[in-house]
Amino acid sequence: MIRRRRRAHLIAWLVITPLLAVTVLAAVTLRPPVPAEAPVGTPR
Amino acid sequence: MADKYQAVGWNGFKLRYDLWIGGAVAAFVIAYSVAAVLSPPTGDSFHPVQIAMRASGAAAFALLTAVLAIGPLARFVPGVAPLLYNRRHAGVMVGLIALVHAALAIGWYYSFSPLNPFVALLASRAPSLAVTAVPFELLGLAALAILLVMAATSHDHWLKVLGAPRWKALHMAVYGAYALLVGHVAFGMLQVERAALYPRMLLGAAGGLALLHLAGALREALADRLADRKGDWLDAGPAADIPEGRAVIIAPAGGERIAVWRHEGRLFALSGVCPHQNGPLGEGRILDGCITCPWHGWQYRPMDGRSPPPFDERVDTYPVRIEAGRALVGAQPLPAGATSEGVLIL
Repeated sequence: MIRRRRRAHLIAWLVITPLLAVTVLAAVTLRPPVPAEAPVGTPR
Repeated sequence: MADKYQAVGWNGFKLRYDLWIGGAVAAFVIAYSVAAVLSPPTGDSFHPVQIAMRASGAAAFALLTAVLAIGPLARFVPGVAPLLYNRRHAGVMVGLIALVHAALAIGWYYSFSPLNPFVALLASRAPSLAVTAVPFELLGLAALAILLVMAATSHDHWLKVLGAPRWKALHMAVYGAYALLVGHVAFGMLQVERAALYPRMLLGAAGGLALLHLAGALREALADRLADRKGDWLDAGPAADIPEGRAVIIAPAGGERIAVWRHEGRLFALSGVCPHQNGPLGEGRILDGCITCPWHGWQYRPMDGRSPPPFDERVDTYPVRIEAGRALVGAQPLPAGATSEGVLIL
């Protein structure tokens, strides 16, 4: 029972580890670019 | 260890533990606030409430990362094991700090809405596939709900009422809460703050934690394989090699671990699993004549596997004998309550 749980723990982390990395990378790479600021002195 | 309700049984170690954690959180919040004042976050507005909101959120996330790292770290660095003893106090503190963060965020962003702030929070985002439209507030709210349920049920009273397997399953939800918080930060703060340092810190914390757990789980899987023995009598190796007050761990093939202890020159074999939270009893040591679990200090007598009075927990005991200098353990436990004199190492 507890041995099965330990095995499930290992499988869970094998799945979770790449998922966490993909989530963070997707959140960062898919964000829209920051609009470039106009140079100082540019008339509006 | 008692069914009767009892507030936290304070002792010097618990007080020092809580003071250290409280001090570390206070130092973190002060350092964060000073850094934020000296180098303000991006945006037009800059207010102490915003700094407090971010400082409390970062403190809760950092503390939760540290709390979740203690378990696998203790597998590799035995000196970390004492931190496991009172870990749930740190978990309760995470819930309280996260509650402060949520209260500040809801007060700051939603209290001027004509709607109820909670309704405004739940209805603030229009459906969209854009990464900036992910309702990160709801991820945080769900994580907070899990943390508060865990904090409310962290007492041993609930462990006794629910039973160790259910209680443990409930508290495994902390990993779900952590995943939700990673999403909360990735789709919230990281969409606003563009410095490269922030995603690196998040990846370092969450990725490091995941790899640590992965390494710990691999180590345990390997230990299970190495512990496996076949037959009615399981070979635990040379009896003389077992250090006084310590145990070697074996297991019947595919079964649960058994710890073979040496106590006052005799060998005793008991279950290697602590019934409190399934802790690794065989990795503990004998203190005051009792086998002591390294996780939370629960104790069992080597002779009969019972906790000393007034407690009534027990673990299985196994027959043990020595043949040609090797310790052999019966694969089947002795009848419940059986007392064993152990076997003398000559």
